[in-house]
Amino acid sequence: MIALFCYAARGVIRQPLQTLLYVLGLTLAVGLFADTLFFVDLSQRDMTKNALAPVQVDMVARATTPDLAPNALEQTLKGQTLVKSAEPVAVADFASLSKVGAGVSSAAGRVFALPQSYYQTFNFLPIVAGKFDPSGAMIGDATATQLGIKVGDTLELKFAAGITQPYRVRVSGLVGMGVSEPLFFNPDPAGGEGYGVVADVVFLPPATFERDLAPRLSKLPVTTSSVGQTGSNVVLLPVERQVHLKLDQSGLNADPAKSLKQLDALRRSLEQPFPGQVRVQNNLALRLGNAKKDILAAKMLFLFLAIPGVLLAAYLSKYAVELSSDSRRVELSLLRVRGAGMKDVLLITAFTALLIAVLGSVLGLIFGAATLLLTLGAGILTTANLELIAPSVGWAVLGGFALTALAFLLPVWAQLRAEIAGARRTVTRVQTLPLWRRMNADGLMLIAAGVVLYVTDANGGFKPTGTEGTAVTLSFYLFLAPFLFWIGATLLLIRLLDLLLTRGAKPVARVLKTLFGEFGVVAARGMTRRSNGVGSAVTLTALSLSFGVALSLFLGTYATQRAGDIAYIVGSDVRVTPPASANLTPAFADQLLTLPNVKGATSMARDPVALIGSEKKSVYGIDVPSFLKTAYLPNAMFENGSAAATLGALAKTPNGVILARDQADKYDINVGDTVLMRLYNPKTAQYVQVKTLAVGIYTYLSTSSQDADFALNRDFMTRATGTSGANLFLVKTSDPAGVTVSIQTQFGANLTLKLENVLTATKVDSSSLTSLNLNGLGGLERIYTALIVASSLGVFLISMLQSRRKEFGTMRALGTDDRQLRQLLAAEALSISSVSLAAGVGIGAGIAALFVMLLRVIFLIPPAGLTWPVTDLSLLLGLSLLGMGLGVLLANQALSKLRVSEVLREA
Amino acid sequence: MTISAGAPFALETRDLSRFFDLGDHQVRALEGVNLRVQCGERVAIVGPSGGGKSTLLALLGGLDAPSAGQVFVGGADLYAMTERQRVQLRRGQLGYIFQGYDLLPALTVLENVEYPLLVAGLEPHQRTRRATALLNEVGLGGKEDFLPDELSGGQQQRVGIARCLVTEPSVVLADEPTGNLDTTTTDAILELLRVATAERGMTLVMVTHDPAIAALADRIVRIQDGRLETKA
Repeated sequence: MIALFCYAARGVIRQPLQTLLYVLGLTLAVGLFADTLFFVDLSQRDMTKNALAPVQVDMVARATTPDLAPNALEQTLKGQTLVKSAEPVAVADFASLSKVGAGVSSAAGRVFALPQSYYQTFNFLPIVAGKFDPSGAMIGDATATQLGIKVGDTLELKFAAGITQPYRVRVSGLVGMGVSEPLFFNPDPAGGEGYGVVADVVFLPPATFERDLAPRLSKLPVTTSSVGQTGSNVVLLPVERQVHLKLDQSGLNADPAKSLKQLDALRRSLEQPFPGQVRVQNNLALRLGNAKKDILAAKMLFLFLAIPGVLLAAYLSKYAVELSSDSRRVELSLLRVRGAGMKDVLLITAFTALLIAVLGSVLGLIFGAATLLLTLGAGILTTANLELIAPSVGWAVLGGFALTALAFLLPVWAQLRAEIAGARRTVTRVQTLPLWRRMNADGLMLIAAGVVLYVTDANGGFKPTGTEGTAVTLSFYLFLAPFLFWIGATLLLIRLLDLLLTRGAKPVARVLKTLFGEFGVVAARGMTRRSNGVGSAVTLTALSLSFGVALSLFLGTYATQRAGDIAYIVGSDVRVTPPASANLTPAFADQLLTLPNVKGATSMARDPVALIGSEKKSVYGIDVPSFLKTAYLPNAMFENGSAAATLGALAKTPNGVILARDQADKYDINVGDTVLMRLYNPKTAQYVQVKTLAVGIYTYLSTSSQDADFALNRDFMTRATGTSGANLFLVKTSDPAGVTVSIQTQFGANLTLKLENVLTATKVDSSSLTSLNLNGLGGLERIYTALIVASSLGVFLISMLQSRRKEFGTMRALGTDDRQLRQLLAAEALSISSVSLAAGVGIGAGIAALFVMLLRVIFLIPPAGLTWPVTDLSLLLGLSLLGMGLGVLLANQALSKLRVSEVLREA
Repeated sequence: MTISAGAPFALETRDLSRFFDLGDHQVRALEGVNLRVQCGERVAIVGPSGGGKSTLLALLGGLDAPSAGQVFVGGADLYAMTERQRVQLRRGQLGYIFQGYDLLPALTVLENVEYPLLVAGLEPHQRTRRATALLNEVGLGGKEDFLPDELSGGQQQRVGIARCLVTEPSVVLADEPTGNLDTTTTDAILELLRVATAERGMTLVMVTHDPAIAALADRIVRIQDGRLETKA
């Protein structure tokens, strides 16, 4: 056994070129596989982090019985593992709110008792005017604007029946309610969406609340209410005691499944000390549940994008095995002469495979690490990343061994068994077509890809599924169509090449003669009569290129879609949202225009409570000329395919309105129809009815919160409501970060502005699949594609030189000079390269087109087509051509060193 | 580059040696070989395997580089020439016939015979005319479109002879031209070779280890352990 192992080891060392050819593909396969797995893990961690980032209140512990002591819950929870902060909150509803001395009062609202630390621990309740005062109250800025309340005024709160005495308190500050949703988030335990946001809110210091309100409110009866979509009954306490928790998220596992287990255990441990008295609402777990599905989809995406490359690289090894079958036959004869039996031969091969697998895996891991460093920089060498790499290394090595078995061991065993059994001698000379050709598997696969595509589309598989906060459902069938297409196109390419080389010999020769002269004809003859080898080389090179092209196009389109989605979410490059109390006018847009690098600025008025029929809708007032210059308005967002035409029609019609497709469907409104709407006048707190004319329909309109149901001319809206206020501003610039800083510097001292730009905006209400960082994968893909392409051509040329040494020696003896041999080699290499290039780009574009359909599911705005990243593709093709050129150069060098007299003596 | 008409010998070697370094020791394949071959002469180089016959033939054909000494072809010092000049000489003045035929497997019989003319830059119609005529002469008329592996060994060697003769070389160098053939075929091939070279006044240097074949030559040169045993 040891002797056989030593023989195998000597064989590996004695034939360095052959070993190199076997190991080359395996090295690339293991390297790419390890890098891909690392990317999957890295993305999983980032996606988990991204998914959790928008969660403001990680957990909410709610007392479900009125008998729990106010401080007991807070004190117990504070000491728990992972709990960073625990803020006590008391909540009660009021019947109405008014300013003392004024006639206008609000509808029912809610009072929150929050300690001063709450405003620092959670940053979604900015104090936009006044301050926290232990003896005063703060109110929401929208309520203050609506009721005309200022800091220093006195409020009057009325409560439900049973408390006759109104409660009066002085206003010490105003709180911005723009992003206050986390305060109200309370999903239905049965799975429904839960309660909505309350418009009118008062904030009291806990001491004031406990002293003035809690004793009286606690006397009110406990009620139950049916909530959410499921209509489940929830106990409503007159004073609800809550504790809002912030956790140390860095202590959570990167794997969402493990993280979910951690959070569930924490929830149970928080509820455990208060049996039947406390329910913990696990907001982090809710987000993670969605992220888990997204991450699974991302894993599938990554693997489907990268696995073809891994398989192709591994096939390089198999290709080298195929090309070296003659030399193996000779070696086998020698072994048989020396008395080796079938078992010995198979064992030697197994040991050789083991050594190749070990060598390929080690080299692959080194190469993988080098390419990661090259594409991502030394910054990836963090402890956390190294921890992530460990499992990838294990899987990659395992994959390396499996690929060696498939690419080397099994084909060699098959050949040796056939040789030993004498099968080769009994094989008839009649060549039969491979099974797939007889079955027309290429056509069937392509048809199957089409059918899968059609059925998936017909069943709504390509429709966006990511409603707010939910995961994207990427059906397996979405990946199946490109997979079938890839196999079908590959087999079709092999069939076409075979046809071209066997039946198109004359045209091929004519073309090559035109390009390379008489030696083109010799090259053509050579290629057409070695159609199998040439076909394999073209197929392998073309598929490698198609892998790179498909990935490049997909990543390019993904980047375009991502940028488009973010621009749509922001509205333009920068969005400025002043507090409701700021009372800014459209003139502020002119001030923004004066800042450096600002190319456009527009203001918008927003009426979130306009009435269409009896339903509240968001109506925007826009200034068409500046909106056209500033807002993100791709034509695909408009039903008539033209942003300019739709908005032009609005500008020409003073009482014109453009509306969202869903509203048009809901109210059966067509272009040309009259639309009656009631706009809210905040000054009079009255609605004003206006008659508008529908002039256009959009699918999306870049405004603020992706909630533009209707859009009017701003002047028309101003005249109708009597208010010229502007609620938000969009800024167009080539330097979003710089302009954001400029706006903050210029206006931030006097105004609490909410500034968002395309660089910082995170899509909190959508799938984390839209925020994948695929740039690293793109960089890796370029390197590996170039290497696989160069290697496949290199392996082909080297093997060709090896197997045709005598032929080239004869040519030299017959007077062929170096230039003519170079011509011959160039003609063959260029033919293979150009056919591979054309086929690779074609198949790559086809696969990319199918993969891009996935983006219709992930992104809000469906892709109009493929984005051709010219620089990326040029780099990819340039690198591949460079690799090919290098292969030809090396082959030329080997050819010039050919010792004719020695070669001619070879048997 | 053509062999000078007034050259005293078609081929001449002076103190020709060829050594090969094999790691820690040196193999002396040829040592101090002095050989003169007259124009139109038929010379057989005989000797045991490994004696240096093929090495000498390769050096005579400009396919190797001597360790020492000189080779003159028609009076011109072969290894004092540039590679380009040597290639020109190989194209026009030297013809080769190989033991294993060494036809180009991807080319048809006609294309194989045309090949030396193609590398020499002749027009297609000239190539085809000359190659077809030679194929008829060697008895392979009608086999022009066959591929080499569709022919028997004897037929392949006939193609090899036609390919050698098509450029009308002054010197034909044949390395065991019948080494892979049976007796009957061997006789036919040797007769073809003898007649074809004699008719054209070509010099023939033939390497063989078969004394019967060597007997057909005007002169036999024996080589053993890298040295000539008879006076050349």
